[in-house]
Amino acid sequence: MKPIYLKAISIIAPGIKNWKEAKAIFNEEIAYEAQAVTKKLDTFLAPNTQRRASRNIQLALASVQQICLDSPFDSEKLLYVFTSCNGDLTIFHQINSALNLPGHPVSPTKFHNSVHNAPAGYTSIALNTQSPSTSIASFQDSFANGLLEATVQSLSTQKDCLLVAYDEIPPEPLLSLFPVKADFSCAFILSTNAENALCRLDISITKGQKISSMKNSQFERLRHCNPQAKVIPLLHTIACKENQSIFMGYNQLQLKIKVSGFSQ
Amino acid sequence: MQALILSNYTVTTAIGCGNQANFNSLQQQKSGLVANNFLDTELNTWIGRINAIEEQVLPDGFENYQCRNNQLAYLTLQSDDFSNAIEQAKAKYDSDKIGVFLGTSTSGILSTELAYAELRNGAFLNPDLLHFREQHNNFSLAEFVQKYFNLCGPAQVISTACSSSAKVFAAASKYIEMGLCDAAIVGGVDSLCLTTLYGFNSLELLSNEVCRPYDQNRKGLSIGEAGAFALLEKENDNPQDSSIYLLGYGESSDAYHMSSPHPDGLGAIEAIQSAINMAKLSPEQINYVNLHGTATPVNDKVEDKAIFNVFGHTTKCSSTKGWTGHTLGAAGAVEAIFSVLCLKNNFLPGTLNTQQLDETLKSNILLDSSSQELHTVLSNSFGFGGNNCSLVFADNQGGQR
Repeated sequence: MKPIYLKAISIIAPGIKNWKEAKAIFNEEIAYEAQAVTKKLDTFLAPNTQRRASRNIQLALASVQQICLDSPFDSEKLLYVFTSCNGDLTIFHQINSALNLPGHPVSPTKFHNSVHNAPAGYTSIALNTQSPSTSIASFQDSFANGLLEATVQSLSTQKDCLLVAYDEIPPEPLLSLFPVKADFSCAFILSTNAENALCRLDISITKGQKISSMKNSQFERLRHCNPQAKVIPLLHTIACKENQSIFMGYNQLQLKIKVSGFSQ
Repeated sequence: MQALILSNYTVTTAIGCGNQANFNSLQQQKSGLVANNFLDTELNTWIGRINAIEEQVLPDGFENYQCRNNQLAYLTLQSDDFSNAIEQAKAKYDSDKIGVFLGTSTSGILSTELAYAELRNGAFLNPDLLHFREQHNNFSLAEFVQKYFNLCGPAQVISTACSSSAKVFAAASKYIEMGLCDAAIVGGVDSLCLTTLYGFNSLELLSNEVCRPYDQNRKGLSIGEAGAFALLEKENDNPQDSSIYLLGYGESSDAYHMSSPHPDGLGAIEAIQSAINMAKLSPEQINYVNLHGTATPVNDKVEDKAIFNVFGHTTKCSSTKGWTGHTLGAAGAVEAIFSVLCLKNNFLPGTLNTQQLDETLKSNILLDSSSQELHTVLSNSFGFGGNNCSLVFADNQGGQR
């Protein structure tokens, strides 16, 4: 495949509020402390909608807001790819708790928020864009799958694509079946245009490669805190402007992401 | 886009297992809807239930994947020589170059729902009984199908509510165009579960009688379950006079509301128009439109506006949901295959169960079935979150390639 250019990054992770902070942490300019992601997240949602929105929806929308404010772009011209391992387990839990009450009082708002593409729907409304969006799920490899999908969409249409990857800590009793230690959300803007790009990515599917990990034990714990945090080695490489290839699990194969072309 | 051939396809719904059984029921005006008899749900509604699902036992090695949705996937794969077509494709392409792109809205969550019912008795969700990855997770469907056929290439599950398995045709096209796959299994599977039944009930969108799309007195939808698969290949890899082609797709967002479509159908118009443009056709060249036509008052009203805006009042349209119910995440693929069956057989289905057409509607909605030469069809799928997708299929006399 042709190269794709990374235009902007947003991140919300334990101890990391945004990409600027992530760059300083990964370059070890400031110390890293793995504090839980704050309860309050800033999103474009109207206060009423925000109050009713689940944690997962808020996590996704917070990354969208961060990347929009950080790097102005024309929301009408973007394509949108959302990726989450399981969708919204908090809402699933709430609906299923209601299903077991007399009269099965399922909340209609919770039901329409339960669809896997709810964050995509809210984003299109918040940014007032009719551009297409897709919402995919790939269990543990959802980030790699989303990155590939966003790259394919951008290359096949020559349009810029916003990728949003997010997953929450699920509530019990689902947490024991899907153990996630921290909330995590990250967004990329990918483009076929190299102008003002952070770096160039050459993405391919490969086999027999070892998945990239972190030498620093704190960062390695961060990589393991949430399936979407498997992107940490890639973010670290970009923050430190290292020309090298990163490997992420992709179903039964691996995604190779060759990083190069940093501006000085 | 480069036109792709549907070199094999199969569909299983409440009106039958496999293409022939489904087509026979379409021709014979035989609905698959029955008064709700799903588990102990006390909902006064009608459902498109497939009884043969429950007797399906997944093959050895797939025990953990056993759940209603994968049972339905497995049942669907057994018709129309589909599995054999995949084996032939494997002889032609590398196993990492056959992609799997499937849509589902609720995967196997029924397994978790049933486990929750036991929680009342103080039990925990038992990971030995409830296989979260293989049953509950959305990706389970693609993982099961990929492993069942012993493939290892790109695999993806799209879950955009009721447009999910229309969008997989678009996704697979792009992966083939980028050279990541030579061929792709596309499709969708969605099965009955409590969340969708009670959820649509909470939104007051379930009809208490059989669904009557575009009827003056339509009261809402009937939920159905279904599976549908197709094998997509590049044109020059398997050309035949009888080939059916995917010529175009159109995708859009409403940017309006989570569970109501844009009142003027703007998102739907954008999806329909993009699909026709990509197919290099004009609206007049579309012979038949398989409508999303869920039979909710608002969907049908808005879809009619969109259709009238693009096609005027001549292009023949109908909804087949009176046969199958609304099969949610499977609807895109099911109705894509129904459209293809209509193309192949020069058959125009009417709109089953509809007695009196809503007189405020302006497009040419067929109530009765008939025979007519067909070369091009368009299929609509619209989902919650304002997610829209339209697909254009043609035979070798429809459109340019």
